Amino acid sequence: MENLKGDERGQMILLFAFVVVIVILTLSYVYAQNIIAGVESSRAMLAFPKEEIRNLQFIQQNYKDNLSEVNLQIQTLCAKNGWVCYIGLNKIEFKSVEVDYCEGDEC
Amino acid sequence: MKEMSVDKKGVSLLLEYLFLAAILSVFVVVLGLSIHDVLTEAQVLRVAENQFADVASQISAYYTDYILLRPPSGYIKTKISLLPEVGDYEYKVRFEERGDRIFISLESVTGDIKAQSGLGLDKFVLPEGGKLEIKTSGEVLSAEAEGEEKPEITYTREEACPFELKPRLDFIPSSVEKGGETQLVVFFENSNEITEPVSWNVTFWNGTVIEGSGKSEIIELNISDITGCQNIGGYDYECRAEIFAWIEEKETCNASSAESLLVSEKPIQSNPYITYNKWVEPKTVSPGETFEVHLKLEGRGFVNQAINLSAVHVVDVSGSMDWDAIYKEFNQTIVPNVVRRVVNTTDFSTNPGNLEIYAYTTDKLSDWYYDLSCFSSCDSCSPPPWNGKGIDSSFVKLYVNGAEVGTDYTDGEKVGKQYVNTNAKGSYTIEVTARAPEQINLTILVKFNGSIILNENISYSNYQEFSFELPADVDFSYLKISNFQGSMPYWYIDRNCWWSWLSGWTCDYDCTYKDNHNDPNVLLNVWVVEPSGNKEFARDIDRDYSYDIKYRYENNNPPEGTFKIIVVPTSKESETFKATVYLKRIEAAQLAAIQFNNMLGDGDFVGLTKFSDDASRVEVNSSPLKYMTKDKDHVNDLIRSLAPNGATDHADALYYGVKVFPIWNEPGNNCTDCINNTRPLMILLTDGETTECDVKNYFGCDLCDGSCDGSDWCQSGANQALCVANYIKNNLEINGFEIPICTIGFGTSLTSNGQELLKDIASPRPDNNEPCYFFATTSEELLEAYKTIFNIFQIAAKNISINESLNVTLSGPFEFVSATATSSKGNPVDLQVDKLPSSTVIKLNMASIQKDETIELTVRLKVKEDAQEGTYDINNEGFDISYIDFTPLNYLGQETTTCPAGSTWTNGKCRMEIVSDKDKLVVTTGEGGEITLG
Repeated sequence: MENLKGDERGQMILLFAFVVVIVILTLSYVYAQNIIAGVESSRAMLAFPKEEIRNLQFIQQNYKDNLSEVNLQIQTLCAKNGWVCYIGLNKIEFKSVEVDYCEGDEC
Repeated sequence: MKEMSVDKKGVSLLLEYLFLAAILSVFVVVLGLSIHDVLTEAQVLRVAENQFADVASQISAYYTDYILLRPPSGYIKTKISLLPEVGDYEYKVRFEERGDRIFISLESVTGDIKAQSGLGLDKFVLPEGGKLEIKTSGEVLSAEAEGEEKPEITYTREEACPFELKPRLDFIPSSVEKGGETQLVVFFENSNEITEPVSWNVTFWNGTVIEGSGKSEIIELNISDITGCQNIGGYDYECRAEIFAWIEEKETCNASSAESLLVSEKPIQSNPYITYNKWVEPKTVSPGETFEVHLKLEGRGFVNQAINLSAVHVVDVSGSMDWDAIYKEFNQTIVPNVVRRVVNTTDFSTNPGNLEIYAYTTDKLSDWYYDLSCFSSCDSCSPPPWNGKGIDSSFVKLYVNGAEVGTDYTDGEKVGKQYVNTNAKGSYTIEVTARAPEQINLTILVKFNGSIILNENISYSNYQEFSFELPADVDFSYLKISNFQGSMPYWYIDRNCWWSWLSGWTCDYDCTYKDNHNDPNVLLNVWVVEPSGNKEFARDIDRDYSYDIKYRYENNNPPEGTFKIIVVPTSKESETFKATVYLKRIEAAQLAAIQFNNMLGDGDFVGLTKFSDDASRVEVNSSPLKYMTKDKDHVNDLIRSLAPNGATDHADALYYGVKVFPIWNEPGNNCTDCINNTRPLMILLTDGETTECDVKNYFGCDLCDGSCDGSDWCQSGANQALCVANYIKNNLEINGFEIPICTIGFGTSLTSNGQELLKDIASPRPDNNEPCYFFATTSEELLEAYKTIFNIFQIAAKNISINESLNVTLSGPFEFVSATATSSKGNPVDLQVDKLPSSTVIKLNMASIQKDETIELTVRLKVKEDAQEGTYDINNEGFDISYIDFTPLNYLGQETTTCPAGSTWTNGKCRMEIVSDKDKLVVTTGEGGEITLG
């Protein structure tokens, strides 16, 4: 340690090492962000429940006379997937963690 | 300083150091900038480019899905994922509109980095060429992604008008003599949907306009000016008024409808007729939206004016009329109010521990669970355990993981249940119920290892209410409610009776508290709450004489008003509750006959004949019209005084029933002119079969063989009754009318023999030619039978069929959603929908329509998504395409071949073509919704 005290070159090495570490950390952070780029758009395209909502619309159109009974079954099926669904004569609802869909005059 | 100034070596070293330091600094700066540029800036830019593309793609994906779904009204909200920073840059995301294109713009807050991604046109081009404009707006800062409210992309589309307007007019009465008065009621059919101020004006037939605002108003009218009314034959005019309503501030949101008034210069000769209105609501819609087509058909004519009734009540007062008649029946599943909570001990410790659960209330229920130690009629008593407290622990039930558990828990005012498990681990489902016929506070307290892990106070009630009303029309002497399924009072009244020659019948009443709260057979607690508010739980609910577990409420002087039955489930299981309310048959009959009389107009006559072993006319007036009067109140009093006794002789009943009419040239009853311009009617009400037959010759009928003793079915009596009925129907006329006989079989004692006889006695109904016979087992059905008899003599037209052809085709712009048809009188309407390639035809059939009846057909249609803009005619018009066929009646209620104005005699009926200038629909495709970021 005594020797190092007067070693100005050692200080410079440490200083540059610190700079290099900062640069590497910054770069790894930036590269990490680069790696995940594209994930959200892919997920959005795949995860948006377009077909599920269309199914609800189809059921509303084709089971008008029996909606109360069908609705109970649909709600149970949706609940198993973690969704909240409702089909009424004037309303369709679909709710998940990320999507809130409501169609009809009663929304 | 002197030494230093000459130290040239030191100066040289200093200069060398400074010189080297400067070179090194320049080198470091150049190197740093170079490294920053090469390793950081360039990489961050690349990452930003990729991340921005990711965000843009994500929004673009949602944007596309939103437009593909595009609910006609409603919203879609989706959370979007953003990195709060790219490198160390925060950035903004927003929509940008340039010309007719939309872009997603992303820009760092510093403005150094920018990116854009195109979303295409600002409109969605429909397959058939229509365009939906898509609005975009909003901006999101990436840092918001770190907050609790994540950024969202939202689609909203609202109809141009915040709510639909359905203005309506109603004239009461809808037929009026010229110079008379009527009320015009202005209202909105959907007034509960109206959330903004509305204005309206009503334009009358003579051009008068009344302006107003608000959801409803009643306008008094004197109908003296009939300028602009359409003459529909003779002295009758149809006068139309139209309402136009709009939302204040949004005048484009408007709607209109019309209503007609029949004005007659001579109501007594006014022929009834039918009228219709047709319109669409709303008038402007966008693709994907629904709209309604309304066709309102109304009967018009003068009730109780054009032709009056001379009605004779022929009422059975035989002994069986003292028996019970069902007044109301209740049958419903009672679902208990169960409070459910779940606790998990592993949330607090992974080891087993001491779990304590308390469920209690501090409220009293003394109003319901009486604090009585005894009743006055009891010879011995055993009071309930809550006596003096109004509640005890049995009122609260505690379930853990589905099983009933717990011991009594009391602590000061707290009363309920407690449960302790010293080795609890894992999840526990706690369920609590309480016998709460009114709102109480209920506390659930859970401790684990001494620490409170749940402490909840709940406003709680657990009951279902049923009600019925005893009208003031009759002084009821009897009311019984029995067949309480699953219920038992908490008092057990044991009756022991014995006979002795010295004292006759003597009874002991041992009144014992029945611990029904802990009895698993007791599923429900039931109270009868009288109109005064008095709650009867046990006092008058005695054990049935059959000694079954059945209890009943009896009151031999029941007050008028609303009775309530309060039902409380005693466990967490759903139970079926049943109860039957009984009156005496005679009192149910009195109620129905009096309510029939109350429907009659001032010009109608009414008379009364009672029968049992023999029949007799009741004197209601003075000579020469002793047995008929317009004073219904007097007749009602006489009906109230009828008392049951004896057997049943239907032949006598019919003979003396028809003898009420003043057409027999007998002393005191010989004034046909007194009931001039009325049509006769006989209503025979009986609860039993023919059991008696007097050997007499009535109108040439002499079929009684003297074998009937009043106890069983009497065939000769039935033959005699049928013979007399046929004579009346086939040989007698009053004012040009046959004398129709309507028969009502009441109660549960009538066998098929009795019912067939009554059906044979009955005349054909004027509205549908079916026998004017009704079978009523309950008081409600009896009332309904009398109402029907009244209404079938007030018809405006018969044999009505509607053929409504709509412009709804496979390739057209509309699709069929639903159709409903309702009668304001609750009469059956046969509805049929034929979906043809070239049209959709709605067919309605009705036996008749009454003078003040409205039949409303509502067809709901949807505009297809690819419908093009334009104005469409919903109706396919044409004399043989859309029309109303009906058999017209004259002012006497007789069928005629003279069609009212606006209709033509075709194929044995009058045909009225359905045309309207209010059934046009405007389709606009302008607004396709708005997508926002925020």
